[in-house]
Amino acid sequence: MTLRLSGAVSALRQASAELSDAGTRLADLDPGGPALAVDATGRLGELGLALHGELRQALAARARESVRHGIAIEALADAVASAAAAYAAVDESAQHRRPDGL
Amino acid sequence: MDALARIEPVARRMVRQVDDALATLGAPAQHPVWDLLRQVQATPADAVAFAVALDPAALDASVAGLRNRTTSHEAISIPVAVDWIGSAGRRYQHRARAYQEYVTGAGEDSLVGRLAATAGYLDDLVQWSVQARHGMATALARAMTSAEALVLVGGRAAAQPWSPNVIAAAATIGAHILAAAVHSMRSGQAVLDRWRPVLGELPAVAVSVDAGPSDSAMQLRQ
Repeated sequence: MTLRLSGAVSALRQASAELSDAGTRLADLDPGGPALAVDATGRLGELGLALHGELRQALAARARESVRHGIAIEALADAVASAAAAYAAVDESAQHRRPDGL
Repeated sequence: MDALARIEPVARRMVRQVDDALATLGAPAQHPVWDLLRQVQATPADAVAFAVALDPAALDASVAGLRNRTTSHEAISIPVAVDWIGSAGRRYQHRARAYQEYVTGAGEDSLVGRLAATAGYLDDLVQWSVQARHGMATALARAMTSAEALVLVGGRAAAQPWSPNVIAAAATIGAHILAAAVHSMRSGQAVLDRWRPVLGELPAVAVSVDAGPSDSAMQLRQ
């Protein structure tokens, strides 16, 4: 099944919005350092900090990946929209050149 | 409420006495507690506080959120088959396929794969924190019912000066608690080492420019 270009633009924009929205929400999933005892004394606290630091960085990486890909898809949607507009202009021009509809 | 939440308040006084003994009188020269103290760089009371602070429920809530996010990402669809033929249409399809693969491709080099890996790491942290708490609860339970506990608590209750027996008993209980902490440190480090390679940031999607021979004209599919 194929999509018309306008449908593709709409689907691309939806995917882009989903990824961008996810990117902004991922940081909310950080349970916080205290859940991993980051304030503990000595090596135990160091371990808690390392475990939480890795999690925080991973969530931040997931957020950046998601937002960045959302932007790339949005750019693709723009390109498809431009192509669709160009086709529409060509069609309209052809109609004007052949007003009898032949 | 898990075992540690139940036993820690009961064991608190004994653990404080162990810390007092180690801080004021030390321990026998060859006692294993010295090596454990060096490894943990914290006292037995600190080690118990570490286990008490771990919050598996908070971690588990984040796992659920990440799993939901992963499922949502899996549903993202980039349209590939569109009414667009010719070289521009082929280039679009090539790019759209690469973009879809970047989102939902198998393995860890996709957005879904990295989200699943992050959820896996967090899930292992949940299991690790549960085990760390359980291990400390077990260590405290054994310490409280040990002969050394009778010596320690009995000796302190008699308000006598620290005797060598009481000092040795405190060191042995301290070693027992610290050994549980060392075990948790090692297993926690193992979780970190196992997942770290797949938690880094993916590079942006790469799409090769060449998508086959190009036409001079763009065409809509008839």
